[in-house]
Amino acid sequence: MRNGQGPIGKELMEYPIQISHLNKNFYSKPPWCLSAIFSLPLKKIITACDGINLTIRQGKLLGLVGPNGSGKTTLIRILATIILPDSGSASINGFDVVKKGLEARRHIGLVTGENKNFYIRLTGRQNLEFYAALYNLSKAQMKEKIKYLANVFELSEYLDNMFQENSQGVRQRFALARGLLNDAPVLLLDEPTKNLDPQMAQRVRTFIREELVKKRNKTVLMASHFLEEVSDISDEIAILDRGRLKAQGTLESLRRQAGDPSADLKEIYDFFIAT
Amino acid sequence: MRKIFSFIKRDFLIDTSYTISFCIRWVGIAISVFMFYYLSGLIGGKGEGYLLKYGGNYFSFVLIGLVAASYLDSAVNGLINSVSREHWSGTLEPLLAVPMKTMGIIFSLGAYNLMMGFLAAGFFLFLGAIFGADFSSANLLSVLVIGLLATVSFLSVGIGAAACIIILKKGDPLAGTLTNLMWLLGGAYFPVTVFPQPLQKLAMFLPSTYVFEGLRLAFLKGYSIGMLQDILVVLAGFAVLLFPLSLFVLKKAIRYTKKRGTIVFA
Repeated sequence: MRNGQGPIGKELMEYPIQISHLNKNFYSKPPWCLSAIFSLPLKKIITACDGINLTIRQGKLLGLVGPNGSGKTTLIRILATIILPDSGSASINGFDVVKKGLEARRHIGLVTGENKNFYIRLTGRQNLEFYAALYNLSKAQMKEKIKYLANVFELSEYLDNMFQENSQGVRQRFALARGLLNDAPVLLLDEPTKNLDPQMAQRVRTFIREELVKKRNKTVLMASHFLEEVSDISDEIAILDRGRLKAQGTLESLRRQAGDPSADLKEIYDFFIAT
Repeated sequence: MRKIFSFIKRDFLIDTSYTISFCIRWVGIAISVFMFYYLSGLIGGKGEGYLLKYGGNYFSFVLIGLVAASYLDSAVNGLINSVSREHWSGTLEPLLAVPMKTMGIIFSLGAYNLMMGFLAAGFFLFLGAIFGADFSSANLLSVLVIGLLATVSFLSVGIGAAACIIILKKGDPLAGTLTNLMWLLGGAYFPVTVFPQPLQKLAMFLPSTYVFEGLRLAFLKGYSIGMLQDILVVLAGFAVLLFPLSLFVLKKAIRYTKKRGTIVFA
């Protein structure tokens, strides 16, 4: 990558998500206020990313697990260009998320587990149409895409209801549909199956694995608290704790690192979080 | 352009989904025109000395003040309220992830309110004409030029205030109070010359003073651009100064909150 200018060769395209020495801390007071007036030391309250190095190969799904406050959502927000890192770098399809945020966003589909972030006085369809327009989809593309995604996530009967009438699960399915509207090559999924019933959660997992990753070659970073889910569909798994990347690899390699060839992800997780 | 239209359409759908609130707003305009019409009758010719410059009629005088204040309020408080609403409802997060410049998003958030402010101003004028306000000598070109300069100046104030909201999260009541003060001191309801000297001097530093004055002279006395050049120069000065400054402040505010991670809820 040259000055955040985007892909320059095969190697970069091979790793659509690249994170290098990424640091992010959150402070308890506005830095400029305190430092400008009192020259007081800032009180660091959370280290969300502590020198994270991570790459994800094209067409692969990396499952990100870790306890609450380990930095999963912060990492996804940095990649989505919503917040800025303190230091280090991250890129999406070769575009630096700080220097070339707009270009990076063109390659991202974002699904958050926070399903309240819709316009509750609009219908589900109106919400999706609004975002589709912001992704520059034509009217025909918009119609076709919404129909397709409504079918995938069983949303057809809810499309014309006021959004405020939808259950949490339905809202989450709309969040998934919104994240996939632009057919982005890189998907950032933050707890995509939160609030979903077991059948729908399984359907979503299968769709992500079979359709998005295997068939359409999308690169996916998925943060989740459901270890079984991560274990089921991830090509690689990364374990994050207090902002530090404790381990990254396939389930097999994590078992080797944990020294237990028959361990399940829960045991591996406990091993790395405890150390 | 299509993206801005999407924001306008979205805000229109949300606005009209609150049917009663949407209707009451227009009824409110009618009530204020009605109220000032009868207040004007009560005042009669008592304030004529102050109003001669504008034709001597208080109703026409105050109507233009109401038109301008209502429109400018939509530029300032409309933007502040939109940014605040997106922030508190959590909808700012997915918006910031779409391929649009953050500045473009903030501008688009204010587009609908500006449009509605324009329509409200038109409604004020329409009702005013029904109640007998005389715009027959209006110079529309002068009105348009002052309107444009006023839009840029007050949009800048709105952008600056929105930048503060992005950082402070809450501040819309303060902004509302300050803008009301700006309309009052600028002469929306009575001539600035009614005020004591210190307040008159303070009014000289407010862009609203020049907007109200210029619009009244253009609407009620038909002043041409040449006759309004002093006012236009001051307004252009405000626009040239405030617009880049507000963009700079907004850019800094966005960067600051992205850095702190407070642009969206944790």
